[in-house]
Amino acid sequence: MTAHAIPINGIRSQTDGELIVSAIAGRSDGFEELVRRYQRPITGYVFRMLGNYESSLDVTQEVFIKVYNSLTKYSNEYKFSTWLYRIAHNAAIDHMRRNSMQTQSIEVENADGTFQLQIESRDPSPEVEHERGEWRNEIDAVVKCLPAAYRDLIILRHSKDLSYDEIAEITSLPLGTVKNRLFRAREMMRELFIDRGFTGI
Amino acid sequence: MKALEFDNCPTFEIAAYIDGELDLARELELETHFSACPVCSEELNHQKQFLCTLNSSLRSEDEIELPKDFTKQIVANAESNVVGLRNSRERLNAVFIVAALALFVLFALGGEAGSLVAGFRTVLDQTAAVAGFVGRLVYSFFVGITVVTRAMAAPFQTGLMISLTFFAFASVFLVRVFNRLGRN
Repeated sequence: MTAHAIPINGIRSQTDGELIVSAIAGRSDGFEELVRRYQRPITGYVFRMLGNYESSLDVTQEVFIKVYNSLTKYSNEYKFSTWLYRIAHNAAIDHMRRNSMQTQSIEVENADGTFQLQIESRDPSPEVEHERGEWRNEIDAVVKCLPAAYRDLIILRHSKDLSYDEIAEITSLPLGTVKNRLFRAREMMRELFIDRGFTGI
Repeated sequence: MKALEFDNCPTFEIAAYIDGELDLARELELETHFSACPVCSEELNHQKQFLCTLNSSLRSEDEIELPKDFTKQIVANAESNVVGLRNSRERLNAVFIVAALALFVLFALGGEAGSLVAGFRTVLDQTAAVAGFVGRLVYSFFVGITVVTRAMAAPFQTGLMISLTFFAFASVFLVRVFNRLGRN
């Protein structure tokens, strides 16, 4: 029971693996630190997937409860973050299926494995100089327009900076599909930008 | 020869190339191609610029506002929702404690406990009587059914046996045929 001697700033410097071990041993501050580390990235990811702040908080809670209940099943052949994103990915997709009235269908895949735009982007804006902040808004809007299967990969790659291997692990997709969909997703984004009157992309 | 090369432009791999997700050999092949193919090298530049914008815009989103005490809330919810972390020892302890409490209540009741136990016994007796009745009912029902079926089956017992065997063989054969079809 030497674990009790660890001071507060000690827990901050522990690895995810050490925190998991102490959480399984029944120490709630181990789990709390894990939540503190990952709540923002997970909420951010879920929020981008669902586009609704309240639901993304609910789903994030659901994700961490699931994590807590299956900590003993975690095997360290994956990174903890990969495992966590995988649970979050499944929870977000489940949520979208349950509320498919509000969001676009995530199932419509063409015969050649591509997806179609289901939300029309808004009218082309006049060609103006765009500030950085405006760029961010534009990109947010375009990401929102993407089919969920593409949006997922774009967020995991460009917002979470994950490797193709990790993305394949999280989404249970073959590596080739990840590569292919990311390519198509970027093509679609560029087309959307051109539709909105941005050239030079 | 050049035109043929352009037909095979590795457009779809440019994204993976920028992401550094191709193996070294393929990466070198693409680089040779870029230096020869103006279409692809322009595409490469466009995509690079686009990815820069994308990364810089999307990567700072951990600024998302969370409710106060969100962490505590999650931890509390998770702990009150435990399924997996309880071990069997804890469960055994719980059973023990409940049994001890029941004994304690009996002791505390003292003289009154006798009548409580007696009340319990009448309830138990009545339940046993009802269960026995239901059991007998079910038993006689099945006996009745057996008698009726035997009476009906007696005249053509051999015929029935033959048709049953035939039916069994036919179903096994059909299942095999379907399995084979399914595999092809």
